[in-house]
Amino acid sequence: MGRLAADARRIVEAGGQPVIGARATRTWPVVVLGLTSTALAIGLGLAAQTTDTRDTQIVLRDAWVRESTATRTVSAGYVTIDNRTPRDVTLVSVSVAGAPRAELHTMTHEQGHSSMRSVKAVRIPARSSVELAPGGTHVMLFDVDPPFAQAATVMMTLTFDDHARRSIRAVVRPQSATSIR
Amino acid sequence: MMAALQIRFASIGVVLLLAMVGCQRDQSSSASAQRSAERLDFGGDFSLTDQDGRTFRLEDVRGRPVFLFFGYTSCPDMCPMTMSRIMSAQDRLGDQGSRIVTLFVSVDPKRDTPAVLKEYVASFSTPLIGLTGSEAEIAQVAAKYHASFELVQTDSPNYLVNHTTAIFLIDPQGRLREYFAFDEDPERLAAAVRALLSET
Repeated sequence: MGRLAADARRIVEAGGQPVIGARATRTWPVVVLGLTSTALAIGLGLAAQTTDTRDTQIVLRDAWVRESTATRTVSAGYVTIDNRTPRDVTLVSVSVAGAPRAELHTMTHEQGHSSMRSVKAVRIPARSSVELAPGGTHVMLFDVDPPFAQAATVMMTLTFDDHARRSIRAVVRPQSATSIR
Repeated sequence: MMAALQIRFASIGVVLLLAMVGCQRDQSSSASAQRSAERLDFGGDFSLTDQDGRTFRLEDVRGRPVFLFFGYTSCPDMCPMTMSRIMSAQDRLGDQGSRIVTLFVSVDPKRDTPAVLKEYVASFSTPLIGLTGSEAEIAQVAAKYHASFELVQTDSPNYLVNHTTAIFLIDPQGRLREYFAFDEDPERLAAAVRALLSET
């Protein structure tokens, strides 16, 4: 077990604060026929905006990152994670191609003052969705090189505490973007 | 030294003051016009350097409503999101929106040179003015508006800055009139500007 995964499991077991489950919303169970899912996986591949995995049914969608420049090498990444399984899952790390360092961060807002802190993991409750979104829990991307150019796509990979990995192409949105659309 | 610049307004007085502002907003069911008829007892004029290296004085934009935000260009989440909300409010105001001056005061003058700010403001579709200055100048302006900021992860060249994310609205006479949360509905920001402009 990797260090992050071990830390995450320990935190989950301890019920500690660093595991974030922000913006979780309950979703209805979805029945996916094997053949249908297979066809989708073959037909859409990684270029799709949604990555569906038959075995665990953890679905990534609406992934995007903010544009960066040669002088402004910090960016942020966002994605929605649908956990269609009957068990909680925990996101322990995110990587994005072109960003050597990626960290899960969350924001706290008190008295008009906002503070950012890193978090070890993000819990996605069973049959729920968690949105990594602006102003909340998100992925901080450092030392981006080459710069993320608008309309390009970059590969975003999420690793969960059971070592499962899911990837999705994230579209690069303008500096002023507040969502993928 | 940047670390020495870290300012905190954790004094009970300031916290209470900001809490009072928040309470006024939350408790009021009236329109922005009524709230904006009152002025807040902090804020005030200041002078900083804009993205073209020229001196900017708040008094130079008398007659126009001003949105003021403290942020930094290496902030990839809160700052662009808040600026987008301000710009959305401007868009909703149509021709009136063009009268608004939006100021982005950097709390990271070490990295945010005029050249960096120039590139940053150009990345937004609506005009805004990026302002920087010496550490002391930035600290003075922040103090006037009861804003705070602190550097974190200072051992990294990509350090972060925790900072006040309020959106300040200054009236055409240069008086601070309202204080909004970063995630305020753009329509409400627009309504507050309409109210200010209806006074003149």
